[in-house]
Amino acid sequence: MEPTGAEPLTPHDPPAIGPYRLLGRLGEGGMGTVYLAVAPTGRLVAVKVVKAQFTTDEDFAARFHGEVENARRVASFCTAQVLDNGNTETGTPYMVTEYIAGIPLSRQITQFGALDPGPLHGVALGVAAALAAIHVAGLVHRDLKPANVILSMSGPRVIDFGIARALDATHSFTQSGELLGSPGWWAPEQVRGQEISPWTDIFAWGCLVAYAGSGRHPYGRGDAVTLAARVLGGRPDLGALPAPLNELARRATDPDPFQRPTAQDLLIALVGGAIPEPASMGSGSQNTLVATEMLSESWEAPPNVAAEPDATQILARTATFSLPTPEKAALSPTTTENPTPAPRSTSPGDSAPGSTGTEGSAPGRSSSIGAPPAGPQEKTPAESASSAPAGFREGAPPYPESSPPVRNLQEGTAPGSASGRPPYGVSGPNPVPEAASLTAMEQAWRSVETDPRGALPYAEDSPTEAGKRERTSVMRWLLGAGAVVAALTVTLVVLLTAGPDEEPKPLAKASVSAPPRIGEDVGRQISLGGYDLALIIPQQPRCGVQAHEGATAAKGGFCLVRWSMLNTGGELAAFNGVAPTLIDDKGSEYTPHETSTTLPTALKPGTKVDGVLVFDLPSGRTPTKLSLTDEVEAQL
Amino acid sequence: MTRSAVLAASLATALAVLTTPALASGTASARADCATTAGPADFNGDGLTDAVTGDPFADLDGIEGAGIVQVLLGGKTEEAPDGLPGAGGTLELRSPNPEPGDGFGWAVRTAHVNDDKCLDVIVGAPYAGDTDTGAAYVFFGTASGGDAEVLPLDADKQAEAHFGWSLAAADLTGGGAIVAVGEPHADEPADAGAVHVFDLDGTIRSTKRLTQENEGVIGNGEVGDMWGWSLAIGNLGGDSDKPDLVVGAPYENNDGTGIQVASGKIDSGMVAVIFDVLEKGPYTSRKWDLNQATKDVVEKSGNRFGWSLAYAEWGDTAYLAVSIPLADQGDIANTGAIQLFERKGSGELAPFRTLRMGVGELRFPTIPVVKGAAIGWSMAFLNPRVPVLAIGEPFASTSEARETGRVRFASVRGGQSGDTLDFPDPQPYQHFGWSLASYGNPNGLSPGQGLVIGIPDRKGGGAVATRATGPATLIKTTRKGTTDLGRSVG
Repeated sequence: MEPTGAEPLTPHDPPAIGPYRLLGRLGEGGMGTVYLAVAPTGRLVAVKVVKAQFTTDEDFAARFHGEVENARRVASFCTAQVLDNGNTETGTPYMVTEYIAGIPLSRQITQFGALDPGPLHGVALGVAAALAAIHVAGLVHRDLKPANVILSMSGPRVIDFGIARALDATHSFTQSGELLGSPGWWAPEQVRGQEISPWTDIFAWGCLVAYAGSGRHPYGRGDAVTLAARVLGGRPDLGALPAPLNELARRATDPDPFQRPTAQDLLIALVGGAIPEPASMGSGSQNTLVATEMLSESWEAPPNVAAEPDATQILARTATFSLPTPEKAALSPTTTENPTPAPRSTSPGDSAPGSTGTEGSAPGRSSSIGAPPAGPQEKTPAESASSAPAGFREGAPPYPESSPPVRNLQEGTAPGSASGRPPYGVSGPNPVPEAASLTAMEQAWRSVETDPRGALPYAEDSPTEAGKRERTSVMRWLLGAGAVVAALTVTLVVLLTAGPDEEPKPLAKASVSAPPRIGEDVGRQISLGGYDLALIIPQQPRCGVQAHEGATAAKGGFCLVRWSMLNTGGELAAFNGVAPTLIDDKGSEYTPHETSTTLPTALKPGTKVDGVLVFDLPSGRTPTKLSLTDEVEAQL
Repeated sequence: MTRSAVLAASLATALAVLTTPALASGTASARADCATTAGPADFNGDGLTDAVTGDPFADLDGIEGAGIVQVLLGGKTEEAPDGLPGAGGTLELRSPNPEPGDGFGWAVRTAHVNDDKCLDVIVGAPYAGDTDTGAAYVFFGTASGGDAEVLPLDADKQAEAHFGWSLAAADLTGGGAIVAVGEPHADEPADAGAVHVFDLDGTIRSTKRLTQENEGVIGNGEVGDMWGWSLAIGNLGGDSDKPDLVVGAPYENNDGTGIQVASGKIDSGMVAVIFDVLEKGPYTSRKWDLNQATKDVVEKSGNRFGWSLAYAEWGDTAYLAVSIPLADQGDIANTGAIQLFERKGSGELAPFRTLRMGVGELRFPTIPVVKGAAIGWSMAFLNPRVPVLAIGEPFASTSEARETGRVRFASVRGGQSGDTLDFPDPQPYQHFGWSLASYGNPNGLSPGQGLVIGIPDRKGGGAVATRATGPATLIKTTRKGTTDLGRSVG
């Protein structure tokens, strides 16, 4: 089962944990065991069960679940989304995350050696993005190491975050002599038992990048005590890394946590920007543009990852065969010969069907994941000033509107154009030469500037023109850098921190791949990415249902939301959404009832899967929207 | 067709008549008769032109996602004295054995299959069967319009191969019709694809299954080619009175000769033509990858050359359009492009012109080049006098609305700039132009009179528009509970 990364179960393993039927072991560490399991509806998941020794503390379970709830707030890019948590029959808490098919970075290095510069840069970028998301949610990973980074076809993904603090509080270094985290990946402050901060993860990032680039542990090999001594005694051996990783890793592993860059600094630097001086970070007096654009197209999987038959399919076969009620046409055993997906840089699915949308920042978009949005409806003067003039229509393309005389002139020169043309021609965008001469990046940039829903996030709390200009230039520069690198920029994530004392909060997210979420989405193909993967909710939810699949509604009545998911592309399409949630007319959010059909995590070409999501709503409530991922929601 | 279906269909028609009182409807006409009064493309024999559209995700009497097909009955209008499809109401076609999730109506085409003059409708249901083997049917047009007989197109099908994904049909000179049914996810090897060819009259005269492994069929069946994704029938070479089959394989990799897996330019696509396809093999065939067809578009992975096809002939000249919806134009990604092929006289087809946005002879000076518009998502030839290609770009955003979609017209022979089809009803994400068909063509080979345009993501369960001249107009459907109406048109 090499491609799955799962080992067979041992006789000591239970057949199931909660409703999750175990398929194999994904790993075992100091904290507990991670299993590959299949959810009741067929979805593959990873289930982590904490070692019994940690659970003797009475408050542990409560703390654990509290931490899992925190982890659920982390935006899903570059991480494995937390799906569920609960207690086993013996009372041991467990948490469930999405299963990421791929190979751990640790095994990649062990088996295939150091990464080439391309994949190395992708890992550095992806892990920095994941840390940014984790830190923005107010969490610290605390155990970042190569085994916790999965190289998947869709990019590097950080797993296993969110519960370390619960464990940490239970068994600190001083209590048991066992230091949480992993030897060789500790930061000095961790070894000293000092306060753990986001910069602890940054230190681990530096070590991890060095390891991935050189194939050597930055602190060498040895037992925990030896390694701890080395961590305290000197700086890690980072080897020879390509720029800018050499400098970034060096600064990330500074013994003084406050001299290290933030995850957002790393992101900016990795797309080509200059890294701010630590002094300005520490001062906290300045709002800082913290994160930038990323992902899909930058990822260049190591050749062996790209060449593997897709592990998801192999796993899915296992799951499909053993399901009590196999879903129709889900994932079949005939798929192992499927072609390796196209290189991300050219895969059509990476590009937006829309023009240069910045849809993700649409007002009213639910932000069920991540910290609550900072009141996008409440415009600051600066934002109002940057908004489009009255009469600007939703979804305008990134061209300036032309004046009527110009339009008429153009119209007159177009052979075959009839008089009295309806709005299409009349309100059509501007002269082609200009439009044609725009590069994609320029178009993207223009949309950031002109689309009111692009939200100019940096303008929202920068009341001065000077501040706006400064950030604008940074953004423009970043976009330009993306074009030069020719590897970046699919998802534009802009986060803003407001100083060390305030909870960091995402103010806007802009995605170039603009999924439809305006108005009624029932009966509409809702793009889950690119042209190929789509979800259709064929009919309005049926609510007030008292019983479904043998279960009775406890709160008021079930609302049944039917769905079909479809892949019309040429490759296995991954859907990395969290469990969808339903939002009602009062703004309350509901997770699916256990009788729901889970949305598949991957669909092979041509496959259509139909199912139903079930939500238990109090009487009198009306469903208004379904949140599918943190980027996509459907108006019901 | 079940009795309730007939009742529902009659009711729908009656309602349609009621809602469009100014328009004559031929459905209830006692004079209608396939043999004497049928027009050239007339399902119900009333002399007026009809067309057809699919709603593959619709529920059918509680059968979830079974899918339905609507016949858009012709009604007389000022611009269309021979009948504008949809102006005369609609009729409903139902699968003879509907099951949940069949996707009946995923693909639709028309032809004169049996020997009456009424137009017959071919319907694909690629998700029919317990293992998504798929199905396809011929519905024979009748004078009453209601009780259409159904001929299932039985074939040797594979699980999860989606027989009925794509269709092509044309009348045969000696009577009957040729119908090609795509099975793009057939495994020989995985998802290499196959095409079934039927020689039909009122029955199946003969049937055969083709893959790239047939003798004389050029190319190798490779993993994930999806050969048969798109289909067309025309006269492109070989014997002039014997039909040729065009097969699109947009997920074919350009990886040189021989069998490779996942190498070269991934999913760059290709198109193949099998001459005289109703004859016994070995066949004569030709194929082009994008690089062989044109140098105007830089072949890249993910271009999807062969995504959609259109064919029509004017006198002794024929044109084949092959789309490349995810071709880039310079730095602007996924604008799309179209490669035209021409066959003159008794010659063989050859690459003719490349349609790109904003550049070259066949440009569109008044229409912006939009990233991601994916022009050529759908195509149809029309205009019996001068060759015109209608081009769908459903993902185009305009100043009116994001992803509202657009249809362009391009002159095939050049000498004229392209233009946009006006549709005064923009809506975000409606995807106007997702599917296109030219209605009123008498035999599946000639260009049609006007256009049927699918708008499957328009609010309220999708919609269809038609256009004879001037702007396109939305067809009011009388059926409640549509889901994805307009996903396919024919």
